[in-house]
Amino acid sequence: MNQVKVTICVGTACYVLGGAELLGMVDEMTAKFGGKVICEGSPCLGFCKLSRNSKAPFALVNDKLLEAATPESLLKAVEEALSEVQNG
Amino acid sequence: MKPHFIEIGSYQLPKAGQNAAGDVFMSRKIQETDRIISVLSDGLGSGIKAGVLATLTGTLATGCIAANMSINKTAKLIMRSLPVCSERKISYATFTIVDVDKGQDVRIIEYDNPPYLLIRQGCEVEPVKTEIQVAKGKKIGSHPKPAILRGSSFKPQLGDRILFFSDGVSQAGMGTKVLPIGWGYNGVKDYALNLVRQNPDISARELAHAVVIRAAYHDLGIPKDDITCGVVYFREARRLLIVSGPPIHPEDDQELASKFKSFPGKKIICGGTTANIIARELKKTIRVSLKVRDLTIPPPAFMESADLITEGIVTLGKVVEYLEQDAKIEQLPENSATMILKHLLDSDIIEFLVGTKINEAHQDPTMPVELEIRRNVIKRLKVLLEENLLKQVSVQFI
Repeated sequence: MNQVKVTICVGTACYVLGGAELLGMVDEMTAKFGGKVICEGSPCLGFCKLSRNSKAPFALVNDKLLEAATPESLLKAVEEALSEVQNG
Repeated sequence: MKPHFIEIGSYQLPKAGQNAAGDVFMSRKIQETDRIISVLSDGLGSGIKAGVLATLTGTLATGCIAANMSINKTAKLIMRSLPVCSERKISYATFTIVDVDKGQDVRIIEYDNPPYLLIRQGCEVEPVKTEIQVAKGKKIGSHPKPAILRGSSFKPQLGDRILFFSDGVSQAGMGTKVLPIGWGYNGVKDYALNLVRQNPDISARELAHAVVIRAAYHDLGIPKDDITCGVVYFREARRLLIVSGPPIHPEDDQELASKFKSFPGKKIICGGTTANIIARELKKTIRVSLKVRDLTIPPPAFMESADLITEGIVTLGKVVEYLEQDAKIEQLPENSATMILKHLLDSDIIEFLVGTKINEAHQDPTMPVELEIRRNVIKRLKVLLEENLLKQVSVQFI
């Protein structure tokens, strides 16, 4: 599989702590990476309830969890994941 | 048990150049006596002065009938209270009062507004109207000509619609090449009947909106008078269930999902965790829409057996804000909150099933203080829906 799947949490905690900015990245990533990146939302990934130390907003890039995700950290993680799948 | 549910909808555009409308449409539901009163009043002239007088008329009408005064006596009281223009010798505000008693008896009193239209099974029905002469002004006989009020009453049938409007609707387009003498009562009637035949389930709100927009179109988009339309629609109740928040005891998850599944009506889930619980119990998949992109509100999601899924507290808070501002849904951006609002407007009986489990992540001091406790938001929503939109609302906590 050469695609990277990005899942952005749109639950309350994630959304108010910056998840909205991550959703704003969807168009940019689609334009930049085309069909190589599949973006989807999740009503709640549930990570905010797991530990007090974990930090919203959360996103998943394939199976890798991004905490306190920003547009920059999300883009970086997607680029890393893409190079991983391309280099096999 | 009541034979029908009564939906009341209205829409209004003020005269071009005026910030305030001189027409007033107001409705009041009196729980104790099971009565619904709607008044459309058109103040003489336009703008604030007309608006104040029309509001005076509407408030008097709803207040007196709410206090159990008969509709005839109320109309007479209004006529004697209204100031009469010293030059034109006419009262300052016209009115149409619709009084629905226990959902089974309709009484209507009209004074100088265009006649109301009763639509039954897609056709116009003309109830018998009796004339009531009332002296104008405070002193009987102080005015040469008495005012003529028209009273009528009938038993409503399922599907009946009462459409009433100000002369801004019937006179729309006056002076234009296409409609030199205006749209006219018959023009409005044909348009409304056609809409109802094309869309037999059209809501009161949609019908009132369509009539007003059509009138503004005849005025070439620049209303020459206040344009107001109200509709009272007797129909089967439309039910809506809104589930928000996980149950305090996880062992109740299954019961929540089961109640959700078996509810006879439209269904909305507000809250990511709640949506995940119901999806898990019902073995369904949730798809978040990334197409609706108003970034101030989390996007909606969809699932088989649910009509809508949204985030919880931010979205419900926005719905409350829209209702408090009395915002016109047609002018709001497309987002999850307006989607909920549309469902609320289109429903008659609204049931909230509210989980009381506190989300600890929301108690984090870094979270915005606007994140209120779910129960408080629902309480405010209930009051707004009952008092402003006359909805029948119940809240159950789990």
